[in-house]
Amino acid sequence: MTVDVLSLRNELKSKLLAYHSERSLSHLGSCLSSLDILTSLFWGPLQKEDHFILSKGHAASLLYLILNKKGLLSDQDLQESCRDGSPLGAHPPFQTQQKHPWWGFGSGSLGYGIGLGCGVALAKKMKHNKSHVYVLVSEGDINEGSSWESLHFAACHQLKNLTVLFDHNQVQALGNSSEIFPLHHLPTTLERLGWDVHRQDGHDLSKIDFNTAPSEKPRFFIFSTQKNQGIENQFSPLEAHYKWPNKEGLP
Amino acid sequence: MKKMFFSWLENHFKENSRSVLLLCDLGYPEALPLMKEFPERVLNVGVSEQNAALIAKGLCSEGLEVFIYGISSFTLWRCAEILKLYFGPEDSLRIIGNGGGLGYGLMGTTHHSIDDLGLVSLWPTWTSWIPARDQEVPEVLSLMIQEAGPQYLRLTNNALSGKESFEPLRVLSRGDKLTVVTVGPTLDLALDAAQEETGVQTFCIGKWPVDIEKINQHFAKTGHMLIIEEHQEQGSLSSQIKARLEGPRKNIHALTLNKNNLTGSRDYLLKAQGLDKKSIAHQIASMKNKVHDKG
Repeated sequence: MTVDVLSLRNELKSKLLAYHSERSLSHLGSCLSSLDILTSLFWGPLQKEDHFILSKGHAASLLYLILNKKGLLSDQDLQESCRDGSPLGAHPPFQTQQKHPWWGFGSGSLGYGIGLGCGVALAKKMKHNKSHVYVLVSEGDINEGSSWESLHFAACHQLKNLTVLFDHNQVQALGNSSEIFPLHHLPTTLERLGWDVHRQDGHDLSKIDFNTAPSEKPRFFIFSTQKNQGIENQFSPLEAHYKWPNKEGLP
Repeated sequence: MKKMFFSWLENHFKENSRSVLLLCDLGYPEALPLMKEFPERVLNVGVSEQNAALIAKGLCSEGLEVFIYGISSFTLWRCAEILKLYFGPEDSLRIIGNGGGLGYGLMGTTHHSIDDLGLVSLWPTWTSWIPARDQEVPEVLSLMIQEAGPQYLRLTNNALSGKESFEPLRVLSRGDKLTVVTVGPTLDLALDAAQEETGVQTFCIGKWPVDIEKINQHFAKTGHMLIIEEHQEQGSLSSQIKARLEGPRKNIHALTLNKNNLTGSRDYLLKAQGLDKKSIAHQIASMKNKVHDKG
């Protein structure tokens, strides 16, 4: 961890809270649980040729803030986003003015990021391109059958240039995922499928580490995260999916 | 038609190193030698149509041309949302749907594809191709790959041969009493009768969307039209043609498929719903006589 990443993370968090507060926009918790993972990725191993695919499209505001910080989204477009008339809604668009592999694909309907990532990773493999594909997924993504089709495919074809980042905040739209779609078996299941599985604390910037031993397998990181991270005194994890702090509640 | 497709594809692959084929665990036996010859570009993704569509998008986004081969109904409906959301004019996607219409007859209603053209026509950047005869498949494929955006090819076997080459909209018999419009292989259910009667002009649609101005002009002269389509009425090309035509529509009669709970051979199923040569000949004669009586 460097001081820069910590300060970047704090800057993004402040902007995120203000963004949702100004717009009365839900899904703040989905962004907060991914914040440390994506800060570590975008100011870590992610190279400009690499692809990033946001499968959990409900964290779009976090992506917009990151891409703005990286110079891929103008201040004006960011300011207008998630407001009437903007092409940038609460889920990422299917067409963007600026083509860049960090914009990934449009999303909003869950369960598609891993398969899209498989396709891009396969194309890179065919073209002997050494760059990498990262996909950020949520509980809801893993609920979807399409994700399981793609998890099988990636393992079967040894797409070692594919890394899935699972923001495991243990909450989905109506409650705890352990009661809705239990995933306690995930590490064992994925290892048996042929994935290189890693478990990390998704909020400890000093310990989030994407460097792993070389492997022929695709990688799957399970990050333990918290949906109300940093706003515990205001909202429960479930509430953080729907609510936002008012101006007085902002730090 | 399936054999014709795989034969064409083998040559296409030899000349195009950026082409990829995704099989949804179908294509026996024609796909097997192709898998051996091009192991890196012919992938059996298994019975997972959603995954096939997602992988295809990833490959297309990297500039590759992607063919997906499978049973028509599954390759469209199982992944319809993905096809709708992710594919546009920049994507070189070709979905090859075998068993279009009632092609899988006895396999049952899960395998029938009688709402495919309606589904694809909902997506503005997509084009459907409906060859009438097996012999047209290579020509259709050669035209199809030149078009921008996602393409759907509906394969329905019809071994009858003809001298005519494929056109998106062609005229096969001429007359000015009755307008007959066929779609793909229904051409050969109507053509004999249309040619025996005088005054019947037969159109065959092989691509959709297509400019129907020629049909419109002819209908303006005859005022009577019969459309024959191996598709359910809802979402059919017939209903879309009717909606676009100018003039009175009460004299437009569409023969479409209205029962989806039957099983049997394709010939049986077509006949059971009035789409056999005899019934169509009767329909053509009846409509023409009405025109004649009024005339």
